[in-house]
Amino acid sequence: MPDALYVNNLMKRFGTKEVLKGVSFSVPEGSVFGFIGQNGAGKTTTMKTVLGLLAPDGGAIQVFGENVTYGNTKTNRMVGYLPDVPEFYDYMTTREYLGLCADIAGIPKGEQKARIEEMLEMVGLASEKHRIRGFSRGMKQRLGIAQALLHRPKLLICDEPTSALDPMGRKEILEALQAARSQTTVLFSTHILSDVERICDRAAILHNGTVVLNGTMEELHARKAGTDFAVTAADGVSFEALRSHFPKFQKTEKPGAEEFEMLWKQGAQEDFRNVLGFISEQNLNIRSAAWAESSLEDLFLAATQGETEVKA
Amino acid sequence: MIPFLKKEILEQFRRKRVLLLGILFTAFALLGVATAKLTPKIMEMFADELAKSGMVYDITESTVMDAWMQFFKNAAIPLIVMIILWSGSFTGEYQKNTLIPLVTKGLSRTSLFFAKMITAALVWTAGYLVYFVVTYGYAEFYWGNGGVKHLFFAVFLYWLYGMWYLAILGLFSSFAGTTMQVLLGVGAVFFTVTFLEFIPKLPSKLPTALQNGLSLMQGSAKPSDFTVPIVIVSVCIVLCLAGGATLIRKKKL
Repeated sequence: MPDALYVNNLMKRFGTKEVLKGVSFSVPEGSVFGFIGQNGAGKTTTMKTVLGLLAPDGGAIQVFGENVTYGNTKTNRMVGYLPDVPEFYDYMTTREYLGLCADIAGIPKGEQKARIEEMLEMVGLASEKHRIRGFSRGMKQRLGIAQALLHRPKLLICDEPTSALDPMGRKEILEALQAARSQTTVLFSTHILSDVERICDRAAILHNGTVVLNGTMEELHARKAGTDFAVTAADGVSFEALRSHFPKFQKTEKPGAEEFEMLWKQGAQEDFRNVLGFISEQNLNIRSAAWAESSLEDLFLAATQGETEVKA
Repeated sequence: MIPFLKKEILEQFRRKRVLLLGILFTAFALLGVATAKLTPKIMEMFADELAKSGMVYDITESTVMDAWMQFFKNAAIPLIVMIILWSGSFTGEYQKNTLIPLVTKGLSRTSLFFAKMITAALVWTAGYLVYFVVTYGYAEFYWGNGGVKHLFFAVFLYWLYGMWYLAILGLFSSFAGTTMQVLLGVGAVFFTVTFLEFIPKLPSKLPTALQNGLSLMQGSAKPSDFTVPIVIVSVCIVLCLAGGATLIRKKKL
């Protein structure tokens, strides 16, 4: 079965600025894919190219095995798109607008009403009878999701759907995306890493026009997990005893670290067992001892600072 | 194309454009008739004073031709207002990104282009029709339109002249990024044609000749005199529409 989205060696230049320098990744069907990158990394450019709104300077894109072409691309019938700042005709009501979308998408007249009500219910706008003119940003974002999912696309593409929203609005959008998962594959871009941790099962990090990391969330976490372990002593005596017996331990200096916390970088299973043996032998007082799991943020920082310039 | 056309027409009503243009076309029609009717009376009132300063005003009753003269003279103003109102029709949507959700749902750009052009043509036709009917009605009431030659053909010529501008507007709108660029483009065409009018023998062949419906009404020109400008304008309209429909397919949205 072809991937929902396949992007290979995508290039795009605006004037002399190379925005995409060979972006490659694929989104398997049924996944929620986080597309991570700083502002200006090329996320929106990539997405607009996938939608046929921008002409690529090189590379290939396929949606469910069909090639994307610039201009009127046929692949768009399978795609729902939520732009970063969705704008609608403000003189229409939500139902009028979704009716227009339904007509354009070719949804049979008989099904339209039920489908529109279902979408408005899902995004919490069912009781909204006013014209779009007075809508808040969060309401427009929710209407954006409703229009994007209206024709039951097989691939939903969202450009920074949560960035401009308050925590409550973010929570609602993330829940809506998670709910959409049962019907569609989701690709969403963001620079908010906690959103990715919350709902994605796959992610790619875009930096300087290339994908620097790409994989399932487990793979991404595993990339750094299992090499460092941290021990926090309960008192100074135990702390000193461990430090003097195992010189590889270094006091954790980063802000927010506990007073008697220490870190063993690039350790092996055997090292960790030895430490635990020593603790029990010497009856040391310990608060915690564990492999330090790297957060997505660590990975992101490492990747974007070129520390682990790994191409997937 | 039908869903987007419905949206365009709804937009004309909700944005109060129908109301505005309706009032404007009616007001200018009334103004034209009133000017034709009242000018001799006003002159009559000042006749004594004018005589004192040595000017002799030969008082004649106004005729139906005065009303139609005003008709063609004033028509430019509602046409200009219409062009200004329409200049943002495409670019406004480009700038607000309102087309993206529709295009990504499968709205073809060709349909989008023609839906907007059809709406513009409908609005111009309806407004011009109001303008014509009001003028015709009052002219009939005050003077009678009996002596007017080729009345409908003369009126049709100016309608076609308006359509020509709308087609040019559509062409520039298909690729320009801002409303200002569209207006500059239309303005450039206007000045080019105005400039060409200085070349001898050319004026009767230019699109601007279509404004001279009055000469037909008065009998100083015959319909066949307008064959060349009609052909030129019609070819221009077809080329503008074909060009616009092609260019918008490659427009970066």
